[in-house]
Amino acid sequence: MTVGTVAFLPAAPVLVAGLGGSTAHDGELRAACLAAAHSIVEPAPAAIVVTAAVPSESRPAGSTWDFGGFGVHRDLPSGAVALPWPLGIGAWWLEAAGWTGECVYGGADAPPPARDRSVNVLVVGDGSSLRSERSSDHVDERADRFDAEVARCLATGDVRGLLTLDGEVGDAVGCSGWPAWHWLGRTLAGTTVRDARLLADQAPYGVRYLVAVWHVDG
Amino acid sequence: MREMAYDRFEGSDLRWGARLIPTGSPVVMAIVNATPDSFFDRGRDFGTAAALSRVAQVVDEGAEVIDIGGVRAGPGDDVDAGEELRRVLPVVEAARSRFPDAVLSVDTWRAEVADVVCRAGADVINDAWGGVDKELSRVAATHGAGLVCSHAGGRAPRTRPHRVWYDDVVAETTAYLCRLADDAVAAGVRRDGIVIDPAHDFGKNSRHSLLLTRHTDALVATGWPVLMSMSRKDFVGEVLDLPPDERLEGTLAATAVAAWQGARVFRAHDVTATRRVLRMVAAIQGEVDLSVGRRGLA
Repeated sequence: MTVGTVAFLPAAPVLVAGLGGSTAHDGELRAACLAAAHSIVEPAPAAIVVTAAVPSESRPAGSTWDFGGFGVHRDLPSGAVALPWPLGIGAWWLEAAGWTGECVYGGADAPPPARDRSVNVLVVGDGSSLRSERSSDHVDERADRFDAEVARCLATGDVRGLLTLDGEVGDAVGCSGWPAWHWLGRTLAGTTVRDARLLADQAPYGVRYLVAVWHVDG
Repeated sequence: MREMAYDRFEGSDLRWGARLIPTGSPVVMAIVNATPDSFFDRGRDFGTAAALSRVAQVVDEGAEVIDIGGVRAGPGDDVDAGEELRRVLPVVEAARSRFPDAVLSVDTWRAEVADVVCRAGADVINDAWGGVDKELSRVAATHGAGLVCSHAGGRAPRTRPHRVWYDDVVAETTAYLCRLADDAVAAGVRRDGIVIDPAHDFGKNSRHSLLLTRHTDALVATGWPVLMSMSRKDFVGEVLDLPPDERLEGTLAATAVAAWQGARVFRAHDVTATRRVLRMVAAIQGEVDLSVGRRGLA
């Protein structure tokens, strides 16, 4: 598998239309997410690999998003199987960007895929979630520094930096993204990122959301 | 919305302190926060004198049960058991003395706090974090106290939900509450002192809380008396996009829906308004008569 373009998106249910409520909010952040999704859809790759911090297992064609466990049920298309919700977030953004091609859903513990075709990649995950009074639990003072390092890696295309993010600190600050970012670091080892753009870096609800796009030279 | 249950619940009477709370007569559990930082009152009742003043007010307004808490539900400054007791115990002692007929409840997840306040006269332990301290039910049993069994989704005390997922929030909550109530009976808690509380917003997003309100009848069907703690919570605020001080109407709408379906105890900040709603619902159900019946009858 040769990776062409990588999009980094938050695993935030609140940014999904239909989950975040009917009042318009987060418009700038959602626009950045959609732009990142478009950046991997529009080159029309052979497939899009979607990765998040979920267990790796075989997922049948037609797997798709369903957010029933958050209280919003969907009637799945006939034969479709619901994805674990973090992968479902990725599937939802790809659908929003108009993608109808093949998706390969994987977990962050999967081995780097074989380099036998050209694909784009969507990595779903967030920075720290224990960073402010709005967070779900007590604040961990390491959150800011951890998130700053993630943002630097995404903004500069630092593959090795992603791979060396401290997972122990990541867990402590409630970061859901680091396992998938490590996976990407392993997958892109030996490649060069020729263009990296950090499209958004915000924490409006106590979780650090990062949106980025990388263009990779094989 | 799923069809509501129109049959009157034929559950058992509830006995808290000296008070018998029969079926068909829902009661108000007034919230008294002996805290400096709770989400709605923001320290209004912090300190023994202020808390006692609040107790007197809600008794005057007709609250049958007084729920005294010493720890803010959300994340915040650490409050250990010693500090919790410093806040709560003097209020319980004074309230017990001044209002011997009131049912006194203490909102705590700690067995050591429950033991002390029960010795001081508390009638009920409101275990709002859902069985975190396994000794709590034994303390309630020892003192013959009532017990509120709650579902907080397995969350640690004083945390907020973060992307919580339930395959079926009503079924999972109901099953958990029945297990907790059965465990309490096995630990020796009086069967007629136990109520179950789905604990809106605790370990749940707003849609989960709405689903539990919509399906109050599923909780009622367990046979355990149901307590609803919905007052000015975020699920109301997120429906209406309003801050806590503007959530009264939404709270009262939820109260009416839950009362219609048979919930028995309503934990509330606004005692008078809640009692009026409960009376109105009971009148619509035919359980109580008009207070005055002049219209068209003169």
